[in-house]
Amino acid sequence: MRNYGFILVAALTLAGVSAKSGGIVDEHGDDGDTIFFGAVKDTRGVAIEGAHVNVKSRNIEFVTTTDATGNYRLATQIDPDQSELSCSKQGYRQNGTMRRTAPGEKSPIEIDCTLQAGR
Amino acid sequence: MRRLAAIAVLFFVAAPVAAEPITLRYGAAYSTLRSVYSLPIVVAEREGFFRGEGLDLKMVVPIPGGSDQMIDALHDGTVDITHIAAPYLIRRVLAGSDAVAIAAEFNNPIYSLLAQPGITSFGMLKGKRIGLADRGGTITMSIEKLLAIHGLTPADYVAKIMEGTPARFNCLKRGECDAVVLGQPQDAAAEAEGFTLLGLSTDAVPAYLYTLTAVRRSWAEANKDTLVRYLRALRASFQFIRDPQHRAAVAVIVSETNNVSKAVAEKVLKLYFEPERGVLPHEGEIDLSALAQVIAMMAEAGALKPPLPAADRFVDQQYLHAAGVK
Repeated sequence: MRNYGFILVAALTLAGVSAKSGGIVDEHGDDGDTIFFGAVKDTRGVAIEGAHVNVKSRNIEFVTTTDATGNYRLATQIDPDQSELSCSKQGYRQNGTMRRTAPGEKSPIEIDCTLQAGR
Repeated sequence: MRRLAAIAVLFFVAAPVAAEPITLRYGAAYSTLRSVYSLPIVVAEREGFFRGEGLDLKMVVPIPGGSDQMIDALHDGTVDITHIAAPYLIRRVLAGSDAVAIAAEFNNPIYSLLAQPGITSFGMLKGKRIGLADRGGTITMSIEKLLAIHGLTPADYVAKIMEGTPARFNCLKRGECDAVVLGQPQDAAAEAEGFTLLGLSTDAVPAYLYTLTAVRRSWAEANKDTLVRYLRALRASFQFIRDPQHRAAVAVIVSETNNVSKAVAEKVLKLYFEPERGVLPHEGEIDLSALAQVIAMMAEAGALKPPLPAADRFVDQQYLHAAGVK
């Protein structure tokens, strides 16, 4: 069977783009974007800077890094019902995720992720 | 009884073992996914060429991203291999990266300069806002040459720099840009919507190597078998795309992945293949003279200073050869 999911997700991949260098920015994206946002903290509630956050849907992963306040934001058109979010950082293991947006809501989707020190 | 046991042993030895696929993380800029430049990878995935080689290819999109971020993604381990435009690879290698090109993905890119419906000539762009790509890339270099041919210097217009054809198309549609440079298929879609096609980048520049698959040399040496599998799948994808019998199927893929009509997708393929414009490699082969042209363009734009490096410094063809690509 052909992997139509890959194509579907690729077709849905429409969002704002920014680049750190060269002054290249487009924050507008397209209609229908799904915004994923939230925070990564340790088990004591301390924000973790530089943690990797992955939003995965079938064969495509969007990867970003938390800022100094432990927050992240990703604009995609991935269907949140078909996505999986995870976080990681060297020296930590994932403790859990907490979706704060009510089920059925499409965007923005707030998901916090907790890391625990140790491997 | 002993004979039955022997048969059982033979059965287990002879039975095919379903090996776990090898995960390969392929990096791509956001804009790449939303353009025709992801076509070879999308076709390989859709037609099962990666699975046939025992690969589980994961497309990884770093955010914030962009063409200038993809080598970073190789170095920080976010991806194993990456799609990249040639100038960005060249710049990073000259700055000390051990990244290297292992296959060509697109050659001779055709970029279109599209303007608002009321703008019908290059002369009408004076004082207008033009949406361009990164100044260090070949897209902007080629369009600046096109504008120069028609008498326009950078002082004659306001450049708005944006990453990716989709972003620039949005700028045109929102009326925030008077003209923009677009790749496929958005250029064909824009023309169909009534925007004015002023010219093509290929009117101004000779053939050059556009996008590549790149990898760190250290990673490649440790994962040669995986790379060869990837390159065999990529070769199969190019052969599929180029086969006229598959033209309709490829048009459907272009249409679905770029959210354009089938008519626009067919127009894109016609642009590439009728006549043959050498936009797509035959098997992923790397044309060193086309890469040398990129180096020359970068030098002309002031991005490189003499003595210019040789093109083969940025390429390792051993994996292509191992995959049977001539």
